[in-house]
Amino acid sequence: MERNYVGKSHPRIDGPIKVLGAAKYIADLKLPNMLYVKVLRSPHPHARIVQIDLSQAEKLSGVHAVLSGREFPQKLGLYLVDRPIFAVDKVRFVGEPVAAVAATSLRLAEQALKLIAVDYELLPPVLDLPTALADDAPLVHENLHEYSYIHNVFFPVAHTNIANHAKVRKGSVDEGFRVSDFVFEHSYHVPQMQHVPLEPHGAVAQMDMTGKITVWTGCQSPNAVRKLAAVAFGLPEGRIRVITPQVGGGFGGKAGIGIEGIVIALAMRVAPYHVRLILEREEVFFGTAVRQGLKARIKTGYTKAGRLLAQEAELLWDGGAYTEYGVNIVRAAAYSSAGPYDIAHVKTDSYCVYTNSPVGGPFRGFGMGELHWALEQQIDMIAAKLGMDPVAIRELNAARDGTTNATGEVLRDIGLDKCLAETARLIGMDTPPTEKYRGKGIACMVKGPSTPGTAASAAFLKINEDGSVNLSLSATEIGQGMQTVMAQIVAEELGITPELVYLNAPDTDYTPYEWQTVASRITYSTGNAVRRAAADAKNKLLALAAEKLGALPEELTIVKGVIGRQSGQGAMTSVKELSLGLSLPSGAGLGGPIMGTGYFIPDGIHGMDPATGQTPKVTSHWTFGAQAAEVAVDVETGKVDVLRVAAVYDTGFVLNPLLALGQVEGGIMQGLSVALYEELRMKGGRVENASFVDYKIATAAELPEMLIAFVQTPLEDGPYGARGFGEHTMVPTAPAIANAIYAAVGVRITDLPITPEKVLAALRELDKPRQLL
Amino acid sequence: MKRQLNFTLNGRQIGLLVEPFARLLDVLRDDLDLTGTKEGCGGGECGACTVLLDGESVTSCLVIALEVEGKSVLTVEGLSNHLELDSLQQAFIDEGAIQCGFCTPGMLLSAKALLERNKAPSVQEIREGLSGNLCRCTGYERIVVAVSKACAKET
Amino acid sequence: MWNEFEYLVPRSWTEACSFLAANPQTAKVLAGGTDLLVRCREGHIKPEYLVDIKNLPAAREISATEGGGISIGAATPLNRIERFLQSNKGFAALRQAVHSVGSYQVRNRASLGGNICHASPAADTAPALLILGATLSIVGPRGERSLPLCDFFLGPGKTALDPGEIVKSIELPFLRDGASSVYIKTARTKAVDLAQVGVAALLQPDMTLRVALGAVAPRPLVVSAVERMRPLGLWTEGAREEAVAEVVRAASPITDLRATAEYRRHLIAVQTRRALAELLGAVGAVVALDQARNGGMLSEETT
Repeated sequence: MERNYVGKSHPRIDGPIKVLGAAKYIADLKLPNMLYVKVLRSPHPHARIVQIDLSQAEKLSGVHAVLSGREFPQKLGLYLVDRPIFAVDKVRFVGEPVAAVAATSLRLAEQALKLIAVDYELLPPVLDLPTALADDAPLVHENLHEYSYIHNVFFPVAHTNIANHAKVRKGSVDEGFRVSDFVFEHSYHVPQMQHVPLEPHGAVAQMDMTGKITVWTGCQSPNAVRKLAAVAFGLPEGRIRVITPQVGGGFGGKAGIGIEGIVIALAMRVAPYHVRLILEREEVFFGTAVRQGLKARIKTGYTKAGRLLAQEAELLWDGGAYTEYGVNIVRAAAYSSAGPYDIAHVKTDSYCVYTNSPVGGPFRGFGMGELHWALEQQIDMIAAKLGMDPVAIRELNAARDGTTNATGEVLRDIGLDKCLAETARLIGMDTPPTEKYRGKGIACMVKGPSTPGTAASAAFLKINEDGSVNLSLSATEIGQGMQTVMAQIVAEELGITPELVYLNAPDTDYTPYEWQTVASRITYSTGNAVRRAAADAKNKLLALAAEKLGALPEELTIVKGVIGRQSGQGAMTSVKELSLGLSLPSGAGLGGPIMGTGYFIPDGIHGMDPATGQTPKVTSHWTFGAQAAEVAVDVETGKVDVLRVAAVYDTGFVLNPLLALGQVEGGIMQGLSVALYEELRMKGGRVENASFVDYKIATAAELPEMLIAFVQTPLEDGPYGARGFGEHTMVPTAPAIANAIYAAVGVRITDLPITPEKVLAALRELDKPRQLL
Repeated sequence: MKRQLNFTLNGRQIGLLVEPFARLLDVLRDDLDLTGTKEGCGGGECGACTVLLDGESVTSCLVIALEVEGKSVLTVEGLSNHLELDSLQQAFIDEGAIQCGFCTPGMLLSAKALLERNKAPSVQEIREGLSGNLCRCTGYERIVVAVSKACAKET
Repeated sequence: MWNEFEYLVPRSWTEACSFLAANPQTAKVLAGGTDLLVRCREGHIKPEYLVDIKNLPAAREISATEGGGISIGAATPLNRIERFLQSNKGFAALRQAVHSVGSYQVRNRASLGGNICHASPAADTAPALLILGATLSIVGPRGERSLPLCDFFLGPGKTALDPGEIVKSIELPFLRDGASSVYIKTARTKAVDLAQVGVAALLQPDMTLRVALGAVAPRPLVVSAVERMRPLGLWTEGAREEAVAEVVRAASPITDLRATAEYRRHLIAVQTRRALAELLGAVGAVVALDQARNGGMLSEETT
């Protein structure tokens, strides 16, 4: 079908404002009567707060408020309410907010912090998973059994450090292992990492003299901030307004509610001052959400032909001190635990474990990167054992139409085999490198959005007298290009050009509801809502045009804002002309100003059975893809040079090829960076490398050659067939690189990141590096 | 005690009072309302605060404002001529080199400095020339392509 | 954020020195600021006065000396030094070391004076300056003096400067025609990283070798044992391995956040071997030069 605007590389509508340096992010906003906030953070991983003395800080001239958990003991939580705004009674990680100061300057606020006296009584810290899971483990949350949470979706285990235990039982793994020719078991490890958005987190809050609270925040989810703050502070949602300016990258780290609770609490004390908190980079590393760590044990039963029959997985997630969001990552990993493969028998136990570490939260991939680090090396190792080609074993086991996944859902419209074949072709998997110590590796992936079945998107638009459109969404532009794609969709549906579509900034007083900008769901969910809103407006326009032109609405079409018969004959009118209603010859008016509304909730999502995790539809849709890497290993230094990366994704329909390309390139680089460089180095619960000096991310100097293509297997209920896409591009990169290293020098690194030290140690074990035939 | 600072900013002479310990970054953003230059780390590691000081790219978070006395500073706001975009800015838009936009001002200034000293840099030279500017969204490829195209246009 | 300080611009070296001598605990020299201001921000130091030496006479000048050496003003930006050294083979190690410091933006401000006075054991420029026989021209309340760089580093963050003294310039002596040098840096990433191991080597026309190390001892150091080796003008594989062994012996690497001692020890050997291969030509099936560059830092030069 011929499309005018979707499917084309329309330039970013927020491009000019960003290259001009005119885009306003949270730290750029200047509001009157501003007070500046500094947060006092716990120096201990686990300790009881015996006493806090704020009095000296309060006395400092220029300090307007000093607060702690004593004044504001409220707790926050998206799925499990376990995270206080300020520590109450005890601290659970190094960096936990204990108190905060609002003062007339940042320097004064910093001075005031030094005057706060806190007495701690140290408690035995839980710094690793074995300690957390021991029978006599110190409890990070003694009162876990009293916390409210979403029942029958999450399963905290009272009086333990297990915040969630998600289970999948499909078929019988015992039977599966019994009939397998071989059984192979291996363990994998992913440490905690940080998203590293270029823009540090920030928020400003103000309570006006009527008690209404406004929050400006560089967040991914204004409605979540509003909702969770409303619950925590016991206020109605309608009395909290959340506004989102430009956001400098999210990657999940700005999802849910983050630091907003601190500024809201302070704002309530100092009404009507604006209270501003912008985190230092160091604070971003340990004081905001981090990637959960994972210790995975995978046991696979397979035939000598390479067919996977059974998989038993134990996934231990290091959720950190608070898991209000992280519990869902653990659940997502459970229901995705078969990965992109068709496995008849699946048994998965996925545990979200509390430790006295930074707070685990959504990180690009939402558990899929960590899971595929394990699964994609597991299948590669099985291939090696069988002397089987890594592409062939994946082809044999790949999910296809009719496959049931780990939850028993029957999959449809799956293009994985095409992604796999094209990726293999692009990198040349069938022609191993001739140079020594070079190798190629491949990895597949799958992900579906992890949202409640009720997660909704809504869109509202109005048409202006010049034929332009104001589109109101609470979906946030975090760099992914969502504003541009939505403008294209409006243009396509309505029959105007994308330049005439203006996106309003998310503002919960004005823009309609959006669950969250996470899960790569905006194109799919909000795209559908926008499409419906545009169609709604179009219907109204055509009804008036029909009246004016003496035609039936079905006979009319809108092209570049001009409305006429499809035959091209007869009189015309325009969107402009009808924008405020129809002026009749008599002088009267008909209809009214044209507006359109639309909403979307995915159809038929079904909860997981608590005991077996089985469900006909756990998520709205799945997106598959594959990546392959070619690496060169320096066997003397252990350094790995990633030379080329191929990536092919089945996005259903590519709404904007240039933007989609950018997503893949960005994901590959983040995946490469995560594979080789990234981990939070912990010592005694403290992050030792909380700065760019020692938390290294890839620079432009690390660019490999990238070969990218797309497959388009339409998603039935996606806008124009489009699937969610964005996170997926960094999921398989690390295992593809690990698999390539194995092909190059015969060593396997199963513990991220792949450092030269680990490669050298593995080579030493091997005695002599060899090329895999 | 504040002291007088006089310098040329985006082609115009300006003068204002600043604290001796004020960073150039803060004077630009807070005193002069030029918020295009961003703070990403405060330690000279991420490049988001890059400006040109007498034509040389520097991280303004590590420049004391008084140091620029009598010198000329170029920020992202000075790249365009009213509404007419610089060729680099246009190339960034055309090649899809922008996502969240937070690194973009710094990238543009680093790229501008690169093209001033090397009219026709190779891809490798562009990659290295921009390695002082971190980006987490784009993966750099589109940015490198944009810089290539911009200098091809100039020559 | 850093503390509140006064910013001073002295008009002469004498004025600068007098002020520093009068305020030894509270005044610090400011050149490029890329180390100093970072430490101020982190709260490691809280100076009350920053004394900017960038505009002092010859502070940022680099020129050839009459004797055929090079004089480098202590506050000269590293990029300017790199450009001056062009494709000079003898001074290549310094050019490569300078190029490997931080980012391009940092190198527009950072200086040799700052790098050596900060006296980090991992300072990139130190090993290169050491093999090139650098001496420092130091100015102080009691006048000027000269000090060989090898006597300058006393320990991590400690130098032989007396209160009130400032390094004014770095003097590199004449290098004979046919001399060649190299600096190989091991770091985690391909760009913008501190050294885990730094190896600088200089080969004189008479085939004597000078090797210096960074990041593997409390101070950057010259491996004097290697300098004493004069293998009758011929560097056989055996002689090279002996040199490598001496270099490893001279180092005392520690385990820290950036690398383990074992990894450092291993890389010292690997990079010394590669430095020798580059200067002397490859012996046997050593890895290709581009792999050495992979293991080291990206460099503008191609050899």
